[in-house]
Amino acid sequence: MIWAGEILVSPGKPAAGERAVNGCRVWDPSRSKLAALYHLGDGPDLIATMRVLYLGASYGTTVSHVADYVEVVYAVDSASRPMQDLLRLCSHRKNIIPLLADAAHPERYMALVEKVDLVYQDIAQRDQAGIAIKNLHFLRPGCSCILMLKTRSIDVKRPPAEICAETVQWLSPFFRSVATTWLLPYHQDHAAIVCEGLI
Amino acid sequence: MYRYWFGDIEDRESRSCVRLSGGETVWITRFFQVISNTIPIPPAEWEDAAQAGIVRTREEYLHYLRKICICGTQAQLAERTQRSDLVLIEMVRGLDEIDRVLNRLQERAHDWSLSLNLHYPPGTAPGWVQDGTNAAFTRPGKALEILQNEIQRLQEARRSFAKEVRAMAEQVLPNSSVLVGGLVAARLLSEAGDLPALARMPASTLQVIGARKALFSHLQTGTSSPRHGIIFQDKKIHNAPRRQRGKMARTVACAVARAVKLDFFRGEMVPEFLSDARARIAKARGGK
Repeated sequence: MIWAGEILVSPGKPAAGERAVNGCRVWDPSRSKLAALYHLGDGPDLIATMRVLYLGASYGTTVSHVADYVEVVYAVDSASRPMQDLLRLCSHRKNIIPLLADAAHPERYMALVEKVDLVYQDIAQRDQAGIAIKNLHFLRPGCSCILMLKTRSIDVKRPPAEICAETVQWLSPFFRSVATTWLLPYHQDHAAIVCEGLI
Repeated sequence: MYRYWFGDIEDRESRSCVRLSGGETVWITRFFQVISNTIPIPPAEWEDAAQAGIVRTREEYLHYLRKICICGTQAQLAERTQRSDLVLIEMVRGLDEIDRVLNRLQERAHDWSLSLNLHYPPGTAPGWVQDGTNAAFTRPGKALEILQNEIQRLQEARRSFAKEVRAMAEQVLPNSSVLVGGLVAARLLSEAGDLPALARMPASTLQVIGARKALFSHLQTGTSSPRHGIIFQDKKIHNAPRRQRGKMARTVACAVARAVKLDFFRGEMVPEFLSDARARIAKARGGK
């Protein structure tokens, strides 16, 4: 990862109105959960040869930064409104492949997406662990998955720590190691679950 | 055989691939075929496309895939924007937003007027407000006037906007609009998300949809269950005597549940159904 002192940046051409340091785009941890993870702990490094499956691409803020680092990003989102913004983003960038599809039905995009080196998931659904597990189909053995757990989307009443522990338990049979980082102070009730080494 | 965006793989081992060829429409048709695939298949491999001679390099593979996905996604989005039920939802949400804004502005203007010892709306004087007695307080200046003019303009806009929404609702929801009025029908649709979802809702859901807070407090803490949600806005229910409202809500919800199914599956007004539904509602009203 590229740091300019304390600031995380991504190696892309800054667009008009974007903050830039040394000609690189500033990756703001309070806007992007992945940036928060890099600020707080150690997520897997993004490298230039990587292929990434990004579930829950939304308006594409984080997607654009990931795309600055890696070879190609398959950006999946099921909502049509954010997808319009994402398409605009895709027209400027050659390495984002937009997919208007539901991440809970990965078979819909199996004919389009290849095996990837990283699965990144940031979606507000009840069954976040289940969706991640379904999408491990695309992950190369030994590679990593980052799950941004929105505990409030799973159950507002249960304690976030309990939900997180449960999710880790579901995911750990598939990986060599599973680690959790809470994203405070940047994001409330969000945990980054980094699963490394797909078995 | 596995179908990929670039062709059919007959055999995974030998990588024999039947290549897809043709113009842009062929590729887009293919995109729509594969995106509705329901059986798990191994992820795509660019080497397969290269071996079949569809692309020469990985760059080329990604270049074409990106192009097709962008075109395909645009086509998917275009399909959605042409759906009149989704347009109606945007419209009715816009209308409700205007109402919220209007309410807030009116409240603000009201407080402001009173603080200046004026009455609000202008020309309605409650007994205890003395208008124009204190010169220091009676000069609201331009600002309040501007606000009041804006409120008036927004009220006019709201009226014509509501007319539009009703007209659209009559097209999208011809039967339920007759039963509960275009605005209420459109709000039910907005809560459901789209017309297919609305058509599949049971009457009990339609009865309490929009009363989320009351329903969950009922389910979780055992308070009494909500009798009505959005459907309460229909005058048949809110004009009914308090004791009868639950019954009316049930009856109207049953009628609406049938109406939205006709709206979705037939898409036109069905007079026989409407007269039957009206009779049932009248019976519920009369039969105490």
